[in-house]
Amino acid sequence: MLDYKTLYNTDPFGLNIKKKDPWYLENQKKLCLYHYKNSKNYKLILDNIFKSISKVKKISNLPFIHTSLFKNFNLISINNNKNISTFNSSGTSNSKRSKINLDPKTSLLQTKALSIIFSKIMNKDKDIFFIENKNFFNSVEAMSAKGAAIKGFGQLCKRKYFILDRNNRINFSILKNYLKKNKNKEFIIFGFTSSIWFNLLKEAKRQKIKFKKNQGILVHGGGWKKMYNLKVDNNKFKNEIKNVFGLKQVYNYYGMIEQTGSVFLECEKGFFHCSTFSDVFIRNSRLKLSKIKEKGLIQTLSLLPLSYPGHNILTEDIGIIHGIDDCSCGKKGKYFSVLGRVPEAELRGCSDVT
Amino acid sequence: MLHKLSSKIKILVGNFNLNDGPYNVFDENIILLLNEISKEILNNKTCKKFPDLITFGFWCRKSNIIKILNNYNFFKNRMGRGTVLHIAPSNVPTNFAYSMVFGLLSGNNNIVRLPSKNFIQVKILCEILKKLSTKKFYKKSFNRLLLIKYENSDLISSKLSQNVEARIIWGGDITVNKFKTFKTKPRCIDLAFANRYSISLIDSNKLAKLNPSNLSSLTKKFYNDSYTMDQFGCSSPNSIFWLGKNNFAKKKFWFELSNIVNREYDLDLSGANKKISNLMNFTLSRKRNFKLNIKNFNLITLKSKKLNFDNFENINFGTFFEIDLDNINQLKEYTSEKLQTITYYGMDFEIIKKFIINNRVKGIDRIVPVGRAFDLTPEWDGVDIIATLSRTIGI
Repeated sequence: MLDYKTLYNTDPFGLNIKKKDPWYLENQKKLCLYHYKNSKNYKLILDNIFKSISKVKKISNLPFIHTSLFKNFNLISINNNKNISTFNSSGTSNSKRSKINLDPKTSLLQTKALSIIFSKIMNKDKDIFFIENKNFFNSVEAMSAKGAAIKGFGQLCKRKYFILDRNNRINFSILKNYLKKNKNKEFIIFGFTSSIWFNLLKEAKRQKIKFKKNQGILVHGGGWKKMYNLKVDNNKFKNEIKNVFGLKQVYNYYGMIEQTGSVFLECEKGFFHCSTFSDVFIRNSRLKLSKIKEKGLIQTLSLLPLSYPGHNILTEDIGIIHGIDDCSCGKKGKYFSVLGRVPEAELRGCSDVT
Repeated sequence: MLHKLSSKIKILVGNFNLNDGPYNVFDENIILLLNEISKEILNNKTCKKFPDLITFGFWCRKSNIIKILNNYNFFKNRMGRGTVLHIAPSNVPTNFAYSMVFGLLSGNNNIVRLPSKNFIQVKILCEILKKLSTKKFYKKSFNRLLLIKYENSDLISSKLSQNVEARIIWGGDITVNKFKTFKTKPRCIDLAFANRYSISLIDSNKLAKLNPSNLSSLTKKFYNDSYTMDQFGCSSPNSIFWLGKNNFAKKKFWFELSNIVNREYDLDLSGANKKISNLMNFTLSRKRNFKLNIKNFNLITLKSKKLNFDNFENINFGTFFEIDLDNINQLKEYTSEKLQTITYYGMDFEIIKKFIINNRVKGIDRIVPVGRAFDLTPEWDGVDIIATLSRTIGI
């Protein structure tokens, strides 16, 4: 199978495209063949829609599957159902949720990848705060995208704090007391973007709470739709959060339940970066590759999914690649922005579509 | 009764004091009014940007209406039924106008529910009608028209349904089934236009005989039939059934179509996302292999031996099934009551007609040459709309 040892011993943002691409192509091909042999549904897509994998010479020509397939079909690449746990997408706007079949091996790969991508931010010396209550892991949400993220990040840090009380009200005193006892100590707050804005920040403002400058770092991911509706962009978000909570750093990341672990972390210049685990392409309305700085549908690749064919996905997000290997933050690889969800197609014709 | 709901209904043309009694069919004043509407459209600069408006403008000219009238020589002692309620589809801008004209020509008063979306075409047409309604000469005719909009409301829809003599319900299965739940007068007649699909039947040997410019113009017609509404029109072909085994001619046809598509078809990211998503979901739901050509994403062709046409309403945006037939009788297994239009090339329509009758086919309500898929005629979906909306006085 794949050479994960090398992967885990390489600087995730240290390879330039010339070094990364041949290696990445080879490993993605192996992964394609593996899923081709093990997933009937994946095989159907490849046999009918794509050229034979053996002929592919560029990563961009490898077959992808559309993210909606996870909502409508059971995609699985192992015969043994015993150790499978099923995760669901958070299912915010659309009613149907994605279903991801995760086995312990893939789960472990994801946790490792996450720890490597976040190694400069999170480690076993730091404590982490979640905007959940103590019983979160017993709730239905534990098996959702949120659950996967909280479980993943929780494993990277030392102590976990849950700052919601039994009635799901935010208990700021937990954070206040922590800051009193741990002056000048770095710590992490993790939450979904919308939850940070609409719960944490809103409640702090309502209670007129403001924190002094501290060593806190916020890590957040998830959809921006509700924020864009209110004209809140990444800059405004960062400034407000830093201002109210006195944090020293805020990191956004782009990730999805289909590719937990190999998330795209934002650099200090505000761009998402591919790591050695991942790759990204932008496709235009003819599904051809968009040029750099041209917007299109985001396609994401990951080397982690083994128990389900989620290694190469066409998402329903719109994005733009800004450059390769030349981000002023110093990280190598492709860097990009996410502009939001693609709008529903305006359906024409005689039948009303409601 | 409508006055009570008036706060929720937006009137665009006419008023609630609609006439009650019916009129003669093909009323002369109506034909004059339609001709006036035609002139207004064809002389309006903004209209030129909308091919569908221009088509309607030509269609409602006096000369064309007289042509339609001449098909009704069998009419004796005919007049309207009373008031017709028209429920226009939400996604086709000019459909309501044709429906309204059928209602007027058949001698009825008309309540037209306009599409909920704010189409510019609808706005322009309403402005033209409003302008003409102020002319003294047409005043009487406008007492027969009420054009309204309202947000989805069962209360309003059901009130409207209770008081009319006929309903034309466009908008497919969902809308039809919804309106069937509302109580109507016992004698109320419904023209319900459900979800349908359509196909093309082409003789490749005849295609081979076309010179390049004729092939190009035929292909352009096929393009208009299928791509105009992203292949969502119920009369747009979703497949080509080939007679004859001239593979070279077929290839030339697809090549020509591919060129036209590359020149003229503009799919946006939303459409592209929907198209690839539908295609992949379709692939998995069928669980069977087919031969797919995706070289040009805007023109995808699928070949398969067995096809069930009932479940592929979601294959659109320029995706075609190709099926080879040894003879026309093999078409039988692909027909169903949902099959609406056959657009054909390279054969006599009599052959297709014979096929329908000999095989006792439930579907296929229209046989028209390639290029005329969207020609809305009084004979639509298997019913004669003008005949059905009028009543005959037996003597």
